[in-house]
Amino acid sequence: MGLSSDNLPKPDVYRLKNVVKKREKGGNLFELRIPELVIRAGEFIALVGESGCGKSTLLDMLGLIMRPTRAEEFTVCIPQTGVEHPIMDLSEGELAGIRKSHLGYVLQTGGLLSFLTARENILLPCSINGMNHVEDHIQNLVGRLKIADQLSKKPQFLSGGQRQRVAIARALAHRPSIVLADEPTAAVDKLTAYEIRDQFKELTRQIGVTLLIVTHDKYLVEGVADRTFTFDVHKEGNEYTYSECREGSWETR
Amino acid sequence: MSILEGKVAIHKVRRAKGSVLWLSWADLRHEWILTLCLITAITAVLSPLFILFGLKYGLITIYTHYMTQNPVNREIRPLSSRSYDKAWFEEISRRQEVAFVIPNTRQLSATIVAHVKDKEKKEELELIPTAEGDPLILENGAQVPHSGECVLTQYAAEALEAKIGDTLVATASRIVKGKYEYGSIELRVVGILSLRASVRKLMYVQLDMLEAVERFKDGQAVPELGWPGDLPKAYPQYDGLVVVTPQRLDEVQKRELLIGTGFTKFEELSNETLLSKAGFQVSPEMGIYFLSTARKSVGEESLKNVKRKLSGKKASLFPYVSPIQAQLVGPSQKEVAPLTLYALSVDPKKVEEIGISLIPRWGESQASTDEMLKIMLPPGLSISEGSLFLKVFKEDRSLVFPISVVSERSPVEGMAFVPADLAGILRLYQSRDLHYDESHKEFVLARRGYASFRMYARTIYDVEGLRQFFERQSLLVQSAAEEIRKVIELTTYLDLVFWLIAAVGISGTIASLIASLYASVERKKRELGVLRLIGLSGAALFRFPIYQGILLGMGGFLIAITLFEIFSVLINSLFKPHVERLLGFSLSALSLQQNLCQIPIPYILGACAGTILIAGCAAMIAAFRVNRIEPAEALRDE
Repeated sequence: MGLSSDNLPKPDVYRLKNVVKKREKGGNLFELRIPELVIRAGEFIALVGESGCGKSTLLDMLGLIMRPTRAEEFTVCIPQTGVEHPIMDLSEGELAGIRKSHLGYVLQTGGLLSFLTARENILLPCSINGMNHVEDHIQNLVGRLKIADQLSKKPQFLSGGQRQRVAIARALAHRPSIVLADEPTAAVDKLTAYEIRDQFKELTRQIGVTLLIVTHDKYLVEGVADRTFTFDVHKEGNEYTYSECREGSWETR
Repeated sequence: MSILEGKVAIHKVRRAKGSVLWLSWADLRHEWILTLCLITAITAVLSPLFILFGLKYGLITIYTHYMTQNPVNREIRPLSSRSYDKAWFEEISRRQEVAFVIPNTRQLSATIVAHVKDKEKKEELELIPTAEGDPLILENGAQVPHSGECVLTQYAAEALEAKIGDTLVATASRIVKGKYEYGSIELRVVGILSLRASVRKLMYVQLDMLEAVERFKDGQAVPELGWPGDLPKAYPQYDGLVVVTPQRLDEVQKRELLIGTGFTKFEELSNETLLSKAGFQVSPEMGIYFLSTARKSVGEESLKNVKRKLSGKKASLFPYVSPIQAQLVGPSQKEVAPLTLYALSVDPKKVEEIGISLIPRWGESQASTDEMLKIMLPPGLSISEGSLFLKVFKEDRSLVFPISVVSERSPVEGMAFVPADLAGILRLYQSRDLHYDESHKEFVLARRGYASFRMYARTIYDVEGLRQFFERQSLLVQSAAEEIRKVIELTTYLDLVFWLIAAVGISGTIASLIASLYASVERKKRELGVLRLIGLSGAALFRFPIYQGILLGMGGFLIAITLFEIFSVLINSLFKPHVERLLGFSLSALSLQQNLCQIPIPYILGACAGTILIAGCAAMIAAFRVNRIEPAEALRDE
């Protein structure tokens, strides 16, 4: 499940080398380059940058919902299974299988299903994975996230912050190895945002997941994240933009 | 909320609910207003279709049943006058489409006057033949009458004031030499037919009773019933005529003999030919001629014509019959010997003149049949004492009569001789049925054929086939074929109209379903993207709109069928008495469990399956759209 102490060497979860993604939008070509990226198990990773820098694109690729245009190496290794998956060689079905069992997502606006109650939303990944006897784990999650009394409501009756917390619970319900969160605090007020951040960190540390957060707010993750990646954006003319991902904070350019 | 309460809350979710079916259902329930709209659209199309179909089915079934139930609709009556023999009836009754056939006489040829025994009221009734299995009698609530019994139609019974169990006295009458003659018989009434069988005054009896009345009216006797009259006697027929004349005939005379005599061929024979042909010879200087016909046989009238033409020529005539195969039979049916019979009768006065080689002792003609039952056996045949009979075969029947053997034997090997008149009667046997009447010592003609028949087809659908069969034989018949054809046509038309309307309605619903489900998928792009994101496979998501389509279809179907049931109960109770009056009978009298508006269970199940299928197919188009959703693009509002 988790890792016992910080002293043991942590296995790689993601290994990217010379990964490139090209996207075209309305005549403008955008290119994201990742020369090297290694993420280890149990790390709290922050992807920080201004809008349009490609951080969400990177998150999508790490979340196995978008394929790179080309990659020298793109390997995902699941700590629980120890299996190494060369992403470029897998079919959509196989990727979906990995997403189902080992990944959890928190989307910008929650991404809850409007026709299910909070409870049903949270339990959905468990149902899909055919997991039983999850009551204690879920109990723990909703208790810590302080949403235990909101479970019978449908998302439309929850506040933004409550929705976000339900989304977090859902992302963790099936005990994935990796959790990806795309601007999870963008839609809530500052107080709630920090609360959510803290709960997030506490939970992920407890369970021992590898957490990747994309945010434009560097202050949110300053001092909390284990490592930070940022993006250098270059514009060439009106039609070509490229962005390069490197480790380090935004200021260390 | 306490942790305990929270735990209980989680426990309420007993089973993992992750199936696509459940998700589809939860989504429909969440958007219940829209779901209701879609279901209403489906119901709006299905309900009128169910009602239409139910009415069509009910009406057609009732009317078809009415048509098939009444045996009158399966009856086939000949319109052309013809003679139908036993062979024809045997062949016809073997046909699959024929349920019942019985010979009948000419119309009004067999009428009797009946009255209840010891009562006054008399009524003239026409006789109709019946036999076992007569649908008209059996399906109108009576039993088939046996010998000594009869069945009356309702009007006949009313006119006679007769009821079942009464004994009727039926009297047939005729005029002979200006005087009335009567023959009576007692019959017991064993059944009375309901009005729909016939509106005439009829009496149904066994066929032989009918034939007896007909024969009586023809002047013949009916010995079985003790009715007096004549016997229809057999008469001789011949194949040819040997003419022997002392003077030769010239060409003109020869040709004369073929004109107006019924003979078509003229040959001159040598004595040797005459011997081998007829078994006798004459003086060599005689002219020997042989008149014959191509196919038909001739009667005594032809012989008389020839005789008249040859008057004054001192000609001798020898009627000729093609040799007849017969069997000599001893007492107790024991077969003695096969024989070949030749005709020979000679006028004793002419024997000298023509120098004939053989003189049978029975003379030229016989006064009574008794006297012609003689035979001259071939040489070398030994017979024992006791009465002998001659048996002549025809197909599966035979004619047997007593014969006495004369002491002389035939001089020719293998030839037996009988009087020409007897040979002529045996020749007639080949074309008409005869039997030898012991009591009257006469050869009696059997019935030639029947003028008509009563026939019932097995089902109303067989009527048309039979009608065409008869038409091919140039036999016009009357039947309910026209009306039946109209009912079948009506059925087909109604079916066609129904399916046309159904097609239009269903197409509209399909289009509406496709549009709604497709739009729904577009609207839920984000949520479907989320499902894809958290790992639901493409195949699973493909089923999402399909399940929704099926659920909508089922919902619409259930409501539509419920509405239909309500409607049909209303219709059936409101209109049943009117329908019964219209059709002129009570539905319960037909023991028919049929409602005016009804859809049988198999059709309902079929409609259900069809609805599911069509809804599923309509949803497929939306399903293909689902598959094209990329998780990444769905999640971003781009």
